[in-house]
Amino acid sequence: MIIHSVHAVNVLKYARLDLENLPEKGKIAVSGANESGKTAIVETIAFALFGRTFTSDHSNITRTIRWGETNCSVEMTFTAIGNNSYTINRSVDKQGMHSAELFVTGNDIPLAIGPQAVEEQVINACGFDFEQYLDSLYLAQVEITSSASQVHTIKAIAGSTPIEAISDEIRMEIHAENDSLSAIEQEQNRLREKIESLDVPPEKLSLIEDDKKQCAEQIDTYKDEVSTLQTLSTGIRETGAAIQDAGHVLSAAGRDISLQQWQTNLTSVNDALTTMRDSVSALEMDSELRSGGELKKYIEKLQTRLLAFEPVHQQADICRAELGALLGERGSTLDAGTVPLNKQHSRLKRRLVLLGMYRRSMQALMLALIVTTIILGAGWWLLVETPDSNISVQLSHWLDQQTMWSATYLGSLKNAAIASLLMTVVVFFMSWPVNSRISKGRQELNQVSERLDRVREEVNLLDHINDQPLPEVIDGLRDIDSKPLKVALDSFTENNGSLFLSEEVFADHQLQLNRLLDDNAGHAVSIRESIATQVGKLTSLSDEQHNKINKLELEIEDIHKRQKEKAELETTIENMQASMDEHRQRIQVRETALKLTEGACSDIYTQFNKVLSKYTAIVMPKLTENRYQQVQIDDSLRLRVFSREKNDFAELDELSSGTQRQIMLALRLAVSRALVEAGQQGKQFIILDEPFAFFDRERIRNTITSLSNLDKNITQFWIITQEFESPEQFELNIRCSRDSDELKVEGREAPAQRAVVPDVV
Amino acid sequence: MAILSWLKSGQRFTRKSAIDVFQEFAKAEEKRLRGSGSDFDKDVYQQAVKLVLHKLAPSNMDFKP
Repeated sequence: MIIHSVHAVNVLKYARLDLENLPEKGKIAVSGANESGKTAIVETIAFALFGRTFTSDHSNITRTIRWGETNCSVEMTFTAIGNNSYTINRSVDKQGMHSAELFVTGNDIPLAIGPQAVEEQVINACGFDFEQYLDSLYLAQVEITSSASQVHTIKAIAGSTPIEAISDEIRMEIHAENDSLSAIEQEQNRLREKIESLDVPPEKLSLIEDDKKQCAEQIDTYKDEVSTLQTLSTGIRETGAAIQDAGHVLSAAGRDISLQQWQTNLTSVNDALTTMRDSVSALEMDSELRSGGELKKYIEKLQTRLLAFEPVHQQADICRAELGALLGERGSTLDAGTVPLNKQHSRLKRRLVLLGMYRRSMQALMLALIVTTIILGAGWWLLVETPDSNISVQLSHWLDQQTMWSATYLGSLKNAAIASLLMTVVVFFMSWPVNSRISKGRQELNQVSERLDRVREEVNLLDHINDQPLPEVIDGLRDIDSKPLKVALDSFTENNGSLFLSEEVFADHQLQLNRLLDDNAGHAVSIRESIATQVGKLTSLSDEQHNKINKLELEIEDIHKRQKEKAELETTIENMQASMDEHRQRIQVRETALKLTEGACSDIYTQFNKVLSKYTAIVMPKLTENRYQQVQIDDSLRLRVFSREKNDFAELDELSSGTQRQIMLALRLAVSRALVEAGQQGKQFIILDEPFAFFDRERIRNTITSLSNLDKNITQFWIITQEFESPEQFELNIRCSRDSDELKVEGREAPAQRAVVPDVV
Repeated sequence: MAILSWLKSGQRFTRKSAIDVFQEFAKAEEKRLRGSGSDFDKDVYQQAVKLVLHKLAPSNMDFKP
């Protein structure tokens, strides 16, 4: 690329800059004092090409506008690859409005419009972008003197930069992988420590499960015991109530109850007491009720008293048998010759009936005889004594009508009457003893009846000896004519029977019974309280076991949680191991890759040394008056120069500052030559900004002279310095002035400078 | 960076791209390692080569390790 003309308005220092007919081949000197606008010229070129400068990028491009102005513009004509000629127009205003157009010279239709499109076309046309322009074609003073920059540049030129960058990238990746590996290892160690902290002895869970099972069994035992105790308590309460009920029935029954009622009441109380004793005996508690208590003893005593009636009962049974025999009951026998009373009674009764019938027959006969006597006597008297009376006539008339009647019978009437009378007397005397016998029989019957009734009453008493009030039974038994019975009764009443007969004794009995019942109730309450206390203790123990189970379950849950967490952590560690293997694999691959890239770079440096030596062998002698011809760059890119005087390669530090800069400039020019040659860009300009600091005059003159023969492609040299002693060495001199903001230069046809005088501005 | 990208474009003075340079070196190195009798992990080596090539030309998916 060769620059032919530059026209700028309000760019940087210059209100107007016109560089016309710039020499295609040759050296262009840009000179002037500090801040006279030398660098502004090359910055204007950069602005024209890329829309930015060394100091202003796209974001602050308005800084390119001259101070106090509202916009700036530049037009530049240049020849690029293929010897094509282009014109570029660019302008920027204070609002940041940036416009650009690229034309193929002679063509009115823009090749590209807009900053971005123009920049792309410029890159295509020139073969470099802004950065490349800076690196390859603009040699600032600082770049020439900075070894660090040279290293970078040399690496780039050598072609190792991309591989070096990859080496750096791989190193960073290895570092990152190692960091990751280390982090994973640390995490693994942390997790292993955590696993150790989570570790639970294998038998612990089994032990806890056993403990839990034992607790559950203990709870069941307590529950059974509580249930048993509650059942017993309920039983004791109910039995106690039954004792009280039966006891109060016994107490309230009074003395006039039957033997059976006594037995029933006592049995009820005794049965309840036995139940109570059995219930209490099941408890492991000390209590009066375990033995039944005083009440039971008392009831047993009462039963003993009732049992004392048994001899009486036996004698009563004997009497009952005897009386049953008297009554003629079946199965009973009497002494020989003794007739049962009922049979006696029947016989007597039957005899009295017969006697009565006989007596009534006699009486009827006697009556009939009396009537007959009267009739016969009256008939005889009427017929005989008063035959004329009406009655006698009527009678006689009636008799005459009777077939059986005969008058001869009239005399017999009197005899018949007398015989009838005599027969009446006979009958009377015959019936007289019957009456006596009937009276006697009735008397006997009454006696038998009375005895029979009494026996029956006694039998009834004996049959109901258990049902009747005991005092009445005893009184009734006393009336029975039986000596053994009486003896037994006397024995009973004198000893055990007093309770049943004496009001006073019975009253004492009631008092004692009630007292004992109260005591029993108290004992029952007491033992139920003890049971309640025991139930409370068992419940408390059961609760303790429940709490223990809860704790054990928490422990089990915790163990399961730990085991789960441990398994998860182990899985995580396994996964980490896989990840670590992956990292190690990646590290191995990268270390191999690093060896390869380093090897490739080393290889490149070796090759580059050869090439660089070739170019420096051409450039360096020209700049150093053949004092230095060869340069060597080792693997660490240290620059060494072959010194004839030393007859060996010398370190750069061993040389003078001027020589160092001379060699560096030579090297940089050699590199530029190499780049231009490699790029096949055709003719090319190059800008050297203050390249001759610390150069002596001769060295400057020799260097400037040498530049023309440096390379066939690098033809246009822009050399910026404060002052040139030999302006004739340059094809064009551009002199800048602090006092002028306009600069107009026209080359080729008029090589001499024609700067606008400062006072024009 | 400018030179870097420039060189990537194939305009290096060596007239070879970094990929070509590296591939040539990698092939020669592989041959050397195989012939040296030392432990040579072909798989790792090929992955390393692919990695570098991928980094040199990320757009080329064939090089992706």
